[in-house]
Amino acid sequence: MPFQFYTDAGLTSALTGNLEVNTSPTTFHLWLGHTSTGKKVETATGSGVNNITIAVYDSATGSGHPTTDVKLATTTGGLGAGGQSLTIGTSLNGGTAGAYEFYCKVTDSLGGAGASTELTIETPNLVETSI
Amino acid sequence: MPTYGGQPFEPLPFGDELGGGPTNPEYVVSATISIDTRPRYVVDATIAIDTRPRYAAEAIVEFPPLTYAVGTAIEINVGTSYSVSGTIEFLPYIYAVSATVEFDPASAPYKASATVSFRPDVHAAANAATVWWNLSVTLGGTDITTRLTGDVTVEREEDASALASLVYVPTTGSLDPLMWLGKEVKIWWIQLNSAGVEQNRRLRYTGLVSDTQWDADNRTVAIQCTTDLQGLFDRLTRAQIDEMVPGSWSEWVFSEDSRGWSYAEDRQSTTENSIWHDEMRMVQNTSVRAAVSPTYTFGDDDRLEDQAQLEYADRQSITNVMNIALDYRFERKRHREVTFSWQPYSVVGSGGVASLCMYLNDPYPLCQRSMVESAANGNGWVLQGEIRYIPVWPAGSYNCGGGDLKVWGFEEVPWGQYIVTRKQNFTQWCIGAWWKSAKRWLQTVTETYSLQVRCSDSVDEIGELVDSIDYGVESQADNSGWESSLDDTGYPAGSLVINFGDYYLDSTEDDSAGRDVLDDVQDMVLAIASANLVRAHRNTGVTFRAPFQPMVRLDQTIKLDSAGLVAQGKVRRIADTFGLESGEASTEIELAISRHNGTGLYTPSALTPPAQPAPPTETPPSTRVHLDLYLGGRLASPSLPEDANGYLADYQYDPDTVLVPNWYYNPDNPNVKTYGQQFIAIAPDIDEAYTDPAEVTATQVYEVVVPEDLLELTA
Repeated sequence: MPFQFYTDAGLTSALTGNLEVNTSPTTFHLWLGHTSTGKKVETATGSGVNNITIAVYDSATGSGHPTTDVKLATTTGGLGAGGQSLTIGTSLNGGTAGAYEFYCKVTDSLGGAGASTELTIETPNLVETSI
Repeated sequence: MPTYGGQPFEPLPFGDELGGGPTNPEYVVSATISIDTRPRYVVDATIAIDTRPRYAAEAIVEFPPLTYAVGTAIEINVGTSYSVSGTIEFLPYIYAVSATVEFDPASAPYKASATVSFRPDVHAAANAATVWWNLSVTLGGTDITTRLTGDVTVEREEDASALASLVYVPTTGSLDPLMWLGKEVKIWWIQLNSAGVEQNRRLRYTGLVSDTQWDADNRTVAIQCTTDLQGLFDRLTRAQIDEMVPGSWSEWVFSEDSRGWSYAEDRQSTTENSIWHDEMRMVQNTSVRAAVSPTYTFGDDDRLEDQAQLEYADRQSITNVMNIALDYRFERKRHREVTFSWQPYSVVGSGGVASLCMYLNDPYPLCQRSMVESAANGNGWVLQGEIRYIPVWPAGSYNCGGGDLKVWGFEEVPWGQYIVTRKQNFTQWCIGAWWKSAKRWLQTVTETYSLQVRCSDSVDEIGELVDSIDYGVESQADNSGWESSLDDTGYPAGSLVINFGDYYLDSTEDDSAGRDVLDDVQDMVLAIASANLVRAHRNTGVTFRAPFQPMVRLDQTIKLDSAGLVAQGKVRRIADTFGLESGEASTEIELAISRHNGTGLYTPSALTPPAQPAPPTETPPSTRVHLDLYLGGRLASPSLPEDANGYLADYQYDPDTVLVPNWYYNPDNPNVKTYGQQFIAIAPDIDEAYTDPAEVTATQVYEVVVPEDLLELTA
């Protein structure tokens, strides 16, 4: 089981599907983590030096929804000024205590015109090691 | 494990034994090795480095980065420290490298990723005259849509797990329905066109199998699903729940043993929110208040023909007055200082001469300073600073009137073969003294906050329906050392002076139950009471059924605009039924209608805790103790009072000097009262008003205005 997104602080409910935006705006409360306290991740490139980030990516730049439809923040209050990237640090430990809590607010700037899945939130490549 | 790379690698093109190499040597050098696979993670590597004698110092080998994509150069950074003109530098230096690098495919780098799936607004499509639809259901990740039969139901309600049920026809063969327990179930509603081609889809439910039942006759498995809202919270720590449920919590308000779902409910009760699971099984906290404008309006044509139902709140289920009694108990650290004063003689001017003459005419033992000191330190109070003494009259000759000249304060002492006269040393005696003493004690104080939170709109219409609740906060500060902490440094810093010589310091600074905690608890109980009143007035419900409503959620406000009933409220419950055989998909929607039925003219109060009640009025205590002089040994001497406080002595009796009748002065005369010699310094008792538990009260009334949702009935 890799480090992944969860929908609860206890890391018991993994996000198994997409972030379904049925109404606009929709706010998702998420945690990035691993259930095992014996694991940690660092970036694959520049391990221990580069920061792990969570960022919004657009697989179809120039068409569909812009990345600015997604805002990321560590608090709900921060979503108003939230950007499209969060910096976690150079490593992230497993276990609920190490999980990274954040909020993701999605606004459908196209007004529910159609289905689309061009935006993702993702980390850079991570390497997982035992602590 | 596969092995990649040459064994050994080829010599690398940098550095030589003469120190040559790149013009500007850099620490990082690289060589490329082709890897014909996806990214891997290096778990082990051995590198042999052959160095020339000139660079015999230790070699430094690094492997950053530890991962490799296809075609990416593997960087093997080798340097060695050497000294040129005393400067330590790194020079890339490898003469030959051999390495075996092993890769563990299981440890390949990966991304954590989630796709944002925008779904179109299908409200209009779902409410069209004709709707073609289907479901897509997965069980444990396996699509079982084509094996469903009967009805599929989905139900979600405020503060409860979302439920689903379905009937599944397993594939032939033996099976164990229990194997599905805990498996994830996802239910999608799919909008089709008339040709049966998918147009849109909506995730309607994500949950876990909670129960299975085998129907042996029909050979079907009935599956019950739940989002396990309570179970989710029961597995979380308090800190984790704090992240997920807004509100506040205190052990002074809730049960100290509260955990899991109970703890989440505690926090929720301090808000006007409800907790529920959405279609992704994400926990949502949303207000129970309806919005001003409805998200959707349903007319008679938009709902199914079932009669819309209106169920009024039972009067007994309503609370419109919350009486809160909140006691705050703490210890008041009291400190009192008292001045003892013994000044029986006038020692100034002629008064001093007169007092001396009186003493010389009828002497008695003078007071020793040590007696004063013993009395000051032996009465249970603590001496503050030093005792000030009034020395005895100075030596000299004094005119005691009528030509009676008396000499005082000289003594004759031998000096060789002579007898000389010198002034006596009186430093061990005194004819007056004063000092300050202090005492500390604890007094229990209870502040009672009598708070009433009411909805007067409702009270005016249906009378008071009262609920009362008591809370208590007790300071946990350990003040056991307060009374013995007194030294001679006076009252403690920060003390409040309530009277000259009287001070106190309230013990309300402890972290667990200090005044800051009390403030938080007051905020909490007021929030709870206010939220209770809001919730208690939304028990009226309007229920109606419509074609399946994929866009309706529990956090929305819906308006029912029917011919006989117009109502608008927040959605309390949604129940979907998908008839796979009948083809009918419907949603039953229950609206919570908040009503007070009053004039609506009241304005809400700010839920600000009342000010700390003033301490009880106290009569200023006497902080000065007058000590007297009591002389016995004469027939005229009175009986010694029981409350004698000061210096006690008896007149001297000298049969050779006293005048007749001697018997009047003789201590052997049973009628002559003698007092003995002692110094008494009894401190005043501390009045009960300062020691008994004190109670003060603050009272405040708060007005809460509950929403008045639209509800109109037309006959």
